[in-house]
Amino acid sequence: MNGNEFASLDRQATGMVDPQNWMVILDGRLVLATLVLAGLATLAFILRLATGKAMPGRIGQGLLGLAALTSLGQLIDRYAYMIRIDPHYWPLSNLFESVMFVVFAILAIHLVIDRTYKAPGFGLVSAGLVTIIISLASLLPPRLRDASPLVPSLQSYWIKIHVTLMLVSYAAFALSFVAAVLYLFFHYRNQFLQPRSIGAMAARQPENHTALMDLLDELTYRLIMLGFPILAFGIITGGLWANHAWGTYWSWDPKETWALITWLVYAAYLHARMSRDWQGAKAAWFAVAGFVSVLITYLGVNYLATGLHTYGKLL
Amino acid sequence: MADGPSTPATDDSAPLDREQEAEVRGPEAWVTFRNGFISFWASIKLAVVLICAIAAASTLGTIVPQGGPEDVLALEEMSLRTREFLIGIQAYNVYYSAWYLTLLGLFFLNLAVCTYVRVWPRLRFALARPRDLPIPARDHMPDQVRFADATADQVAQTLRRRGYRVFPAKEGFVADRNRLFRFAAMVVHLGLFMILIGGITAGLTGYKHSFPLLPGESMPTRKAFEDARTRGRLTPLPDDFKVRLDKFWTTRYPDGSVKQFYSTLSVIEDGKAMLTRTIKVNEPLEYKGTTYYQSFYGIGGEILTVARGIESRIILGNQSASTKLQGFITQRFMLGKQEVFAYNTGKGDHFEILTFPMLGYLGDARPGQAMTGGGHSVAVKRVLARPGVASVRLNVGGKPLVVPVESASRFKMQGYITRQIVFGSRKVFLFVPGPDQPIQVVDLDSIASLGTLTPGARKAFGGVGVRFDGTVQDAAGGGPVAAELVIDGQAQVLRMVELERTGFRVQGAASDPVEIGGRDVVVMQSAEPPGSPLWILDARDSTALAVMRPGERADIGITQVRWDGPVWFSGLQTKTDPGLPVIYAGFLIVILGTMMGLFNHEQLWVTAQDQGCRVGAKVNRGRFTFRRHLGKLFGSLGGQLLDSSPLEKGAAA
Repeated sequence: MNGNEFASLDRQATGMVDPQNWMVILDGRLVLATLVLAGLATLAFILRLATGKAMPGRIGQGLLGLAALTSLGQLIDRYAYMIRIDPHYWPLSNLFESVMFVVFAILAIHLVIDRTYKAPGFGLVSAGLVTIIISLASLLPPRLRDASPLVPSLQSYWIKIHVTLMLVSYAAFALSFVAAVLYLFFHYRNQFLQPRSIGAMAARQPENHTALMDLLDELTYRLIMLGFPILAFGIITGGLWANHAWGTYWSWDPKETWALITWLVYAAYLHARMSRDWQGAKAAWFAVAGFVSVLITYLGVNYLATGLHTYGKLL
Repeated sequence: MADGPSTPATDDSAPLDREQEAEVRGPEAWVTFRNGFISFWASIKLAVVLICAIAAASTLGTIVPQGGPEDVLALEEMSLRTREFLIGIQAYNVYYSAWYLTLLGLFFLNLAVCTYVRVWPRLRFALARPRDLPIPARDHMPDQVRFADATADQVAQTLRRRGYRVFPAKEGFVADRNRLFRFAAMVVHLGLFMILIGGITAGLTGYKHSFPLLPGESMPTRKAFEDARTRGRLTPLPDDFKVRLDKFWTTRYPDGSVKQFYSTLSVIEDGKAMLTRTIKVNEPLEYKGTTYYQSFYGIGGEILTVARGIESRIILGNQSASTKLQGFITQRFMLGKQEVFAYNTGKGDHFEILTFPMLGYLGDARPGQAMTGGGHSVAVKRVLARPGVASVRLNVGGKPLVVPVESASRFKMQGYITRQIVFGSRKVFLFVPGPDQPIQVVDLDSIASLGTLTPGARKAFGGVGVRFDGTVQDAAGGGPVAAELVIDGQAQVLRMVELERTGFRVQGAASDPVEIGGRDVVVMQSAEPPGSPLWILDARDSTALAVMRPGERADIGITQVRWDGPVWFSGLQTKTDPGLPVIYAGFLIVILGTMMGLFNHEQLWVTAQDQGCRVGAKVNRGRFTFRRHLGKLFGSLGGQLLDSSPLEKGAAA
């Protein structure tokens, strides 16, 4: 046992990921590629809005498609590398991995949705969002970026279901947030412009604005309708897992409480839309509040308190 | 919202069915009350308000630690008034506080009335055939498709092929799809009710019990559950069986962190082992309605073998303890990358090398025997000790008397004291500050000083003359002042301090006092890191008598003991929850209901015309997708989507 202390200290410092392995190097390159592609797409969409030509928009869309492929490749590469070290591994073992998964989910949902709703500005905001998310994630300390084996309570097939569902719902809500913010932007711009736009501005395309806002409203609604059951499924599988692992399906742990709060806010959104008084901007504000709640659930709770979900701590 | 989007209102917002209101009969006052009650509690706006209120209230419990009032008091960053307010509203136990439960109660009342009012009309609607409409109403549907050539029959044929239900109507056809999914919201509500009922059942009958078991020990489940019954719960009692822990072990990753922990359990019923299974975290054992979970583990005790061959299992308390150690430590120094220090009990020249701050035990060093390990070595060159006092020489009433002394540090004093001495009519003890310094005579009853004696002086106490003839010195008895250690070949002089003055503590688990070798000792181990040494402390003054690692021997008084290593306990949890099937069913129904919401109800009315035909269409949500779908559906038949609505302009922009 002599010298055991020193040996374990050295092991902790090096970790379990071999930085020289080609798969680990590829992982880093793919993250970078996704970031660059999303950044270029953002630029293309800016050009699209500035010039009013369709071509840069199509290029941006193509770049986002490539970014979705590189981010999927990154997930697969990391999974293929880590599964040999830890048979229970699932590429959502820390904050960085989960963020990269959300990025992939956002890109995938965006590409599907945008085929139907070609909402102007939506591509720009999605691409910008993805660029910002990856940039911030890259600033995380290596401890939170490198894949790591799972603690006993996480070694379960439930992690694959529960965490994946939660993150997919977050991605849907992130996009609904984008649509709601765009909606509110047009809403307040119209409101702001109307009093003094008796002349030019309002007269030019008033109907067009309403139509665009209808589109954004529907987009917000449908994305929330998509995220809502997935979040319900995610929360419930979390409960089933907890009951399987600890014998308690609900323990008012901060993270699960916040997930419930998020679900409630979106439930409030869905009900508010039914009432005539709360349609439009008020409903959009509910959607914004819902996403704030998502952010607290996803990231904020880890600062707030200790609990069962402290695995992805930032500090 | 004049400037809001012109989303078509869904049927969910429709007021109460006229028919249903007409059904209400009875005394007028009752009808007024009933209608007022229903229209208030069935309101969707009230639902939004209550949902938001519950969401807001729930945040409180994620900010304020959930435990007891003392946890709130400990939040020093808040003002005292805030803390008092939080305690007043039971913020430390939000989710079980009366006001929170009241809020939930109101919400479920709202949900109940709202569901009661809507569930049958909705169900009737969802199961009904699509409704025929007169032509003006058909032409007012938001989306219109015109066919120049295709006949109504051809359109109906296409719709049938694509999975629509098509019925012939007075003029043409009426068709729809996904009508059943209009019942989605009601399904979610019913699921929430099942979760509520399951939750209440769990609250009344469920029971959970955590217990640590050492290998060989067993837990009578029924007895634990009877305990719940005495506390007023309606927990169903299991059969009389015991669960015995046969074996407990952990597996680790190469870096030393715990990978998984396992317990082999046997269920013993009527003295027979019914089954033996190994459980781990995420893999519980179920037996006759109770479940056993692997939930924690820890060191349950230490096995010490006393030289005579008697093995004794010393149980360290599960509660963490902290003991102030006695003895001396050196200044800290670096050994490789690790900060360490050396510990000396104050007796002898034997040093323990310990890591800072975790007290990891690296080894012993004594003169002539260096500590080696991890490529490092520490040797003891010499120890500089302060001379101490072994005993005091007195002359009492003409007779010489030698009184041994002991350290006064357990009274938090520097120096020595004697045991009690009788001076004539008085019982006293002596306080000796150091070698050949003036001593104090202290009355044993009042602990008041009776006077000071300088060496060679004589005074009367209790009617007897007492002379102080000086102290007998103990060369190193005053404790080490400094040690010269050779660290990785480099000689270094390190100052030493007495632990009493550093407030140095060992945190960890401690045993009750036990007798080993005629002395009362306490066995203790620091909580971190795993593999920390075992400290054997004098029960009276916490002096370390020995610091051992597994397999090592130490002398306690005249007895030699060996530490054979720790015994791990397995932390198990048993649970019964009769409400669980209902809750699970509720979960399933909620998932089902929310997913049903993904399908949109599409209605189409096909009107035959002299030339071709015309379709009026409506969807309950997602009009953009629907229009796109209509385009695809009727494109091959030459259908023309009318561009009259503002929506189309937006999509084209």
